[in-house]
Amino acid sequence: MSKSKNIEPENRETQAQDERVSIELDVSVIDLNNLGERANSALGIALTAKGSAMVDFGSHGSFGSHGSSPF
Amino acid sequence: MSQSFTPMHTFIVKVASRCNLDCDYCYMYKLTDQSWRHQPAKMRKATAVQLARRIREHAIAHQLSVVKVILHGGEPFALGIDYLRKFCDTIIQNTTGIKIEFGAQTNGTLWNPEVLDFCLEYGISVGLSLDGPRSANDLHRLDHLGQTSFEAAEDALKLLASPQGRSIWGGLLCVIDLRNDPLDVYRYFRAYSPPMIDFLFPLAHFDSRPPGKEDRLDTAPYADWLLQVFYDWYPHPYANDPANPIRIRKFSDIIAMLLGKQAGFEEIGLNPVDFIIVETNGDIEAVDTLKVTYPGATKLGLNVFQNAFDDLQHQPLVIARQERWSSLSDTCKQCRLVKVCGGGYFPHRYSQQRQFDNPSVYCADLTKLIWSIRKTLGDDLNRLAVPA
Repeated sequence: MSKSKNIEPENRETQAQDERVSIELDVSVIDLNNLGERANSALGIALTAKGSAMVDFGSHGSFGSHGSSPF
Repeated sequence: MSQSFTPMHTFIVKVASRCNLDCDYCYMYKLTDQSWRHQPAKMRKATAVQLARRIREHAIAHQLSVVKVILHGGEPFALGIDYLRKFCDTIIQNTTGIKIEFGAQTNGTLWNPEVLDFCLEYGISVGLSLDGPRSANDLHRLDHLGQTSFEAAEDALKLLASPQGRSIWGGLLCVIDLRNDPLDVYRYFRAYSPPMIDFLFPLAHFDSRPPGKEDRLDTAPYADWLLQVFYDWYPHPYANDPANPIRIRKFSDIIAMLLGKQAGFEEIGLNPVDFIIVETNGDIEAVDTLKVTYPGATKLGLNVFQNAFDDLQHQPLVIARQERWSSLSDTCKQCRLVKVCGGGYFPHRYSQQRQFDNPSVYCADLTKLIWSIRKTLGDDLNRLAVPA
């Protein structure tokens, strides 16, 4: 569940003035066993860490840049 | 030793300082810095031996049992397999007790089954640079005669996507060109089910603005381009099999950080940068993409023959990349998005007037991209929440 609701991407000035808005999302109330059709979405894969290539938490040596390696 | 110094886990080695392609956006050859002209065309054995000794010294000092050595250039495979085999053997033989994981970044144009076999033999994880289907790729990635590189690069793509090649395929690097249809580019790549795609902003900064943002930096055409890919990717981020998802690095890492995970890489997030460049003559240099800013920007005055990698801890440019919060502009420090974007990619912040004391020249794009991904995630999480 989002800590803030009704956030419109275009409305950045309002967001900047709203101290209640946290950039992080709260996933503590999600039942990971009941993701339904979203289980295979990017969110579902990230939440359940299916496919290690999907969300490589804390990996070292990632350097994405123009012509540099993706490792 | 500086308490905040993060040891180097990855050594990007410019085994070759020349390339068989002549891409018009290349930061090595086409932009401000022309220092490649003074570099040996390839790394000599004596330099490779000394490099390996320095790597071992560094790994032992910091109790690193595994480090990565990336074959880079220029085009590393232009040197031929025999050279690269000797190079890898030299590194292995002089780093006793340390596991070396090899990687390579290639334009793919010199690939064939023998190259693949060599990479499989040494476990070299391979990143391929390709900008999409022919029409996209040929906008920039031509050879020195102005001829397309597409067929040859696509052959490499097919080799890496083969059952054998897949085991060493690191992913794809693709520089965004706004003239290309984002879905054409993404779906072309998706058909090969790559493990990772990194869509890169063109290298640019405040004095050399990105294509499409020359007049106004508060527009977000790169976010708009990426978001078309995101909305296509997000519901089904795979080609055929959900067990083999395609990681689109910007999206995956932004999602991870929005979910409170430790993530990020050089371009976003605030994790310390733990890789370093070694040129063909043994010079130890800062991230090579800084060549886009001003001549000599990567120079640290260090060389493997005179310096240990621990000498990096005294270098302001290295400190700025490791203590990333301290390098941020005041604007970024006050922005709530900084935890995710990390102020953007270091070279993108440059201006002659304020050096790196700026937000990213892509700030508007990063802002729109992050908030848009957050909205999609937030809406989904709201639907998935367990009723109170």
